[in-house]
Amino acid sequence: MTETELIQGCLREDRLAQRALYDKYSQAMYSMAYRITGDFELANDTLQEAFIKVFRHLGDFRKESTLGAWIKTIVLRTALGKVKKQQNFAPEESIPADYAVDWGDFIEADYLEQAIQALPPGYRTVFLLIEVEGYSHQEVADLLGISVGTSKSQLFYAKRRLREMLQKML
Amino acid sequence: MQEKNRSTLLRSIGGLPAHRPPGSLWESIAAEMDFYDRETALRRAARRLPEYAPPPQVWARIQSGLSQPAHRFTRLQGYRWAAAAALLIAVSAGIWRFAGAGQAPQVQYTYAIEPALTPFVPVAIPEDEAAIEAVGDAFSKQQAIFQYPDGAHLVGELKQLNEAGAELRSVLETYGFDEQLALELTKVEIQRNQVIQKMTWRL
Repeated sequence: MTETELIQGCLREDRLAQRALYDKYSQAMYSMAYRITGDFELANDTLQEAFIKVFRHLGDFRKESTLGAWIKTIVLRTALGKVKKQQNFAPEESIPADYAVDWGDFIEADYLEQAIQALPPGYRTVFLLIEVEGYSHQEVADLLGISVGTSKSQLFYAKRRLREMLQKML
Repeated sequence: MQEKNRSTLLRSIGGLPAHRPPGSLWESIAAEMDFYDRETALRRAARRLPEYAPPPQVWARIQSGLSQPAHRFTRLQGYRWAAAAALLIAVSAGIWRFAGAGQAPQVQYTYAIEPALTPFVPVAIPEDEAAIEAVGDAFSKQQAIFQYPDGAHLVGELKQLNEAGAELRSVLETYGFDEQLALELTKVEIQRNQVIQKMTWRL
C-alpha cells in the first residue's frame, strides 16, 4: 500500500489502513515519546493521544512535509505537553570559548540511552531534539519557547554531563 | 520568457572574475570539522539507540478513542449551556432567598471511597523477594552514577515499604490474623510493586 493509498484509507476511516499507518510509525514515535517523557506510561498516553489526533486531523495534512515528519511533529508536541511542568530550562549561560567534548572512538548505545535518561529533563529534551531527532537550534527554540542561546547552552551542558556519566560507566 | 543573444550573457558570465576566499576561512572549516570528528562516536551511538515497541493496549485504546465522537462545541450546544447556566442561577437565587428567610436547617452529606480489597495475608514468595532485592540493588548502584531526578526518593520509598511489610508480617505471625493488618500489608505490597515497576523501567 502506497502512502497516498494509506492516507486515503485512513480518511475513509478504514481501520485496516489506520492500523497499517500505526504499525508503520508507532515504534519510532513510541521510542521518541519514551525518550522525551522518560516514562513508559506517559509514552503510552502520548502515543494514544497523538495517533487519535493524527487520524482525526489527517484531512488537514497539506503535504508540505512528509507524512512521517507531520506525525512526528504531532507526537513530539504531545510528548512535550506531558512534561511541560518538569521542564526547567536554566537561563542562558556562557559557554567556555575553548569548549570541546571528546567522545572517544566508540560509545555503547545502551550506555548512552541510560545516560540520556539520567539527564535533567531540560538538558535531555534539547539534547534529544538536536542530536537524535536532527532539529536545528532555531527549531528547538521555537518548539520549546526558549532562545537560541539557551538551546545552545543547554546542549553544551547536556553533553558535558553525558560525557561525565559515560566516563564513570567505563 | 524569450531571450535574445543569450550567448552574450553566458559569455559574460563565463568571464566573471574569480575571487579567492580569505585564508582564515579554511581554518574555520578545519576547526568545525575537528569538532565534528570528535563527535563521530556520539552520532554513531545516537543512531544505534534502542527502539521500543508500544504495548498492544495502546492500539486498543486508540480504537476505543476513535469510536467515540470527537467533542465539538457547536453553536447549539453553546445555547444549551447558556440556558442551563441561566436556569441554575435562577434556581440558586430562589433557594438563597427563601432558605435565608426561613432559616432552614443545613444538611451536609459526606462520603468516602475505600478500596475494596479482600483481607488476606499476601504470601512472601522467596523467588519474588530475591528478584525485588536484586532490582533494588541494581537501581541503587545506577542511582549512584546517574542520580535520577526521583531516584533517591524511590530508593527511600522501597526501603520504608520493605520495613513496613516486614513489621506487619511479624505482627501477623505473632498475634494471628487481623483483617485490618492484612489489608495494610496488601496495600504495602501493591505500593512496593509500583516502586519496583518504576525502578525496572529505569534499568
